[in-house]
Formats: sequence, structure tokens, C-alpha cells
Amino acid sequence: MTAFRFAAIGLLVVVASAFGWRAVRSGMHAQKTTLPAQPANAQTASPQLQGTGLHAPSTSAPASESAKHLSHFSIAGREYTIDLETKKIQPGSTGAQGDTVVAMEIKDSEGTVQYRRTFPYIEAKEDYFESWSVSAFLLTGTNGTGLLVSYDVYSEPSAPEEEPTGWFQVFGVVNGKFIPFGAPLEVRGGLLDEYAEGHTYKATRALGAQADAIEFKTWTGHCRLIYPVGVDWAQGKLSPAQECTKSAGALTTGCEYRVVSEDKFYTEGITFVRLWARPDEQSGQPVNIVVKKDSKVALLTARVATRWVEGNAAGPSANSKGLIDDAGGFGVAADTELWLKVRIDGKEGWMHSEEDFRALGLPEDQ
Amino acid sequence: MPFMGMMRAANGTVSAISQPDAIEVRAWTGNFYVFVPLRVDWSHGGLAQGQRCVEMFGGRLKDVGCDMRVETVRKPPADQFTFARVFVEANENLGSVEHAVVQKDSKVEILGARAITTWNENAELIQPVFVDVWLHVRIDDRTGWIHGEENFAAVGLPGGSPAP
Repeated sequence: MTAFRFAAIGLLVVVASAFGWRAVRSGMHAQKTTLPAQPANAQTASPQLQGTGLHAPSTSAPASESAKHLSHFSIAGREYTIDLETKKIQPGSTGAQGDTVVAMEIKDSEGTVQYRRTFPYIEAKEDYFESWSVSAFLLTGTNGTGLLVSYDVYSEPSAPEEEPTGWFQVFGVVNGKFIPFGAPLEVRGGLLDEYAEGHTYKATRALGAQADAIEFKTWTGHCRLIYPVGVDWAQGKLSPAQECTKSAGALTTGCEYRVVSEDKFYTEGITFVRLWARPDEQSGQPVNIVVKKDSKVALLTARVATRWVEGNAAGPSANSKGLIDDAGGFGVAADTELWLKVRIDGKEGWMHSEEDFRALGLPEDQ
Repeated sequence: MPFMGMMRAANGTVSAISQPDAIEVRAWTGNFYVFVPLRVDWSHGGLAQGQRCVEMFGGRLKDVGCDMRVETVRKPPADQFTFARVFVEANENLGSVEHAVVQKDSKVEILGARAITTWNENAELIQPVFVDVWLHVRIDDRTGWIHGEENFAAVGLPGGSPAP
């Protein structure tokens, strides 16, 4: 695996999607973006109106389709490319139109397809529009190098969301063979800006001698916790880097995760929140803490049960027509309680109920 | 503490007679007075419950609190801040709850009360017993319902005995 460390690195970032619709619609809910889940410094194409789309060379695809041949990347001394087949979405009665990705291929230097995934194509209708986009980062860690590809779908109408749902898939070379490290992972959240450098997404730390941890953010309903995923370069597998699952009949109180800081709290005037000494209502009487508009609030830690679902490594079902149906995923477990450790004007404690989350002005889905 | 009032015809707790066959008694809930209606049953020579409020839950009638007038003597807390959980409805399981900070200069208005009242008969005494006691309040610009000792105390109505 050490060879991976010295792999020549070149990379690409690719995004092809129905930008026209997005550009038109983005003004409708500027604070609740539904753009793909790449970090802000990822190289992504700016939204473009129809007619000014990506300038990828056309291939022999039908007139309504085109192929985007993207720059190559190198893993373990071998060159690979990602090609996207895109297709125009014909305008519906609303006039919305754009491109959508209908297939992605990863090819080796001889042009042999090492991996192919298709995406559903849905004609725009009077009341519905859907487009797919694909982006990729070179994934680098202490123990290996691979490719991190994300798949995103944009649809209208859609309710404003604090975090959109996307899919992530890791690829690498194991025993000389380029393979996906399992099925895509469905995540309501995405990558973290702090680990993205240009076209590269960096692992946060080594896990032993053959694995690295990469971190994602995932939405809890009121904040974004940081969820570490272990990438085993030798076995070509992903797994939770912090074991904390909630299984039927064996409820856990959850694990503690770091939390992404929030820029904005929706507080007005003066209010209060109840803070407990520990993440347990039986730990004693809560202390009421005054929160003013100019209070200094920091989110410190989330304690919550999470879930990890293995995807179908065999790939999508033959008659798959909808979302990525072979995906696994991770996130906050259902029917679990979120405890959040906060610091408010220097006072620390744990809070856990909807009324306190709202009193503090934490974000929430509308 | 849900109850605490009593009615004795001789000690002046009967405060008003609003209708020929109904009276309204002022009774202590533990934190404030409420005015509870009673019906005079002339035919049987006694008093009967003057008001009962029910709602249909799952096909069955269930007692819920009735609205009552209140009489309060507030003792503003000494603390700089006190804290009240203000519910949209007089029901913890309905609607949302907001957090109100009561400051020394906060304007607190007591708008009414709601409680389920039952009557205990003991020899010659009948005593109202209050459960699920809620107070309708306006704290600065926030209107809603509060209940529980901590919240009553936050608006200056701590538990205790009625003023003489």
C-alpha cells in the first residue's frame, strides 16, 4: 500500500448538470441551498444558463446526448479517466431545461471501462424536473490514495433543506485492480471544507497501517455532526471509523461526535435554554441560561446514536429506475435523541429538546 | 399542589351570586385564586357542580379544564431573571412551547386560568380540588399558557397559603 503514497497525482473534478434550472431557481431559497454537497473550494462549474454549458467534446452519442471527457488522474502509477454521458432535458411547460448526467464511466489508460454507473433520465414535466450531477476528488491518506466520487440529484419542486442528500463512492486499486470500495453511501450532508484542497480531499488521520479515516458532515435535524468513515485500502472496504450503531433491542445512548460550527442562530430578543450537567435528564436539575441576540454560542459536541447501512456491493438492481438503489448510508439513527453540548457566554452544558434547540435558534428544516 | 380551597357559607368565601341558581366561589389553587361556578340545586336542597368541560378523545368523552377568572397577588421575584415555559395551548402535548425570560421590568398580565375541578364532600364541607392547573399569561409581547410551580413562581405567583 505504501506505493499509493507515491502515486503520481493528477486529478479532475467534474460537474455536469442541469445548471440552467438551478440558476433560475436558486434565488428562491438562497439560505437553504440544494446545490451539490461539495465543499466550497471544490472546483465546480458555475451555474450556467442553457447555451453556455460545459465545453466538452462531443462523441458519437445521439444529437441529444453528449460526452464529457475529463482530465485524467493517477492512482498507483496508473492513469484513469472519468467520462460522463449527459443528455439535454427538454423544457417543460415552465421553460426549465438543462443537462443531466445519464452515465459515468471510469476507464483505464487503454480505454477499458473499469466501472460504469447509469442514472435515470426523466423528461421535464409541467410540475417536475430532475437532473443528476457527478463530481470527483482525489482522495489522499497516509496509507493510500483513491478516488472519491459524489452523485447528486437536483429536483423541483423540492422543499428547502439545510443539507441536501447526496451519494459518495470511493474507488481504489486493490491487488492491482481498480475497484469500487463497496456501494455508494447515501448521506444527508457532505464533505467538509477543511479537508478539501483544490481537487483533493484529504483523510483526517491514519487508522493503523492500511486504513485512513475520512470525515463527512451529516445533518442531525439541528446541527451537522462530523462522521468519520474508515477507508481500508488493502481490503477495499469502508466502515464506520467510530463504532456506534443502534440496533433493534439494544438501544444505545449514542456516541459523541464533533459538530460543525454554525454561522447563524435564529434568535430574537432575549430567551433562555435549559442546560444539564450531563447528557441525561436524571443528572440533576437543569440550569436556565439566558441567551441574548449577541450571546456567544458555540456548539461543542453531539451525542446521538447513528446508523450504518451496508449497500449492495453487487450494484444497482437490473430494473433500477429511481434513485441509487444499491446505496448504503449513514446518519443519525431513527428514534434517537440528540444531546448537544454547547457553550453560551462561557457556560457549558447539554441540551436535548426541540424547545431548547428552537430557543437557541439552531437551524432546522422548514 | 392541586387544591386548596374550601367553601363555608359563613366565612365569606362566597364572593358573588351571578345567577339566581348559580354561585361563583373564590377558591385558592395553591398559587392564586380562581372563581369556580357552583349550581344551587333548590329541588334537592344542595349545591352541584356548575361547570364541566369535556372533549371527545378517541370516541370517548374526557374531562378537560374549564376556563375560570383569576385573582392574583403577584410578588415579583427578587432575581434579575426568572424563566417561564410558555405553551401555545393549555396542554403540554399540543403545539409548541416558547421560552420567556421574565425581567424586573417585564410586563406580566394574568389573563385567566384553566383547570379540572372536582369536589370533595366531607361532612358539611365541600372542597374543590384542582388538577391540571394552567394560567393564561402575557409576558411582554408573548402570550400563552404556563403551568407548574416553577413557572408560576417565575411570574410572581409562588406556592403558599392564601393571603388572609
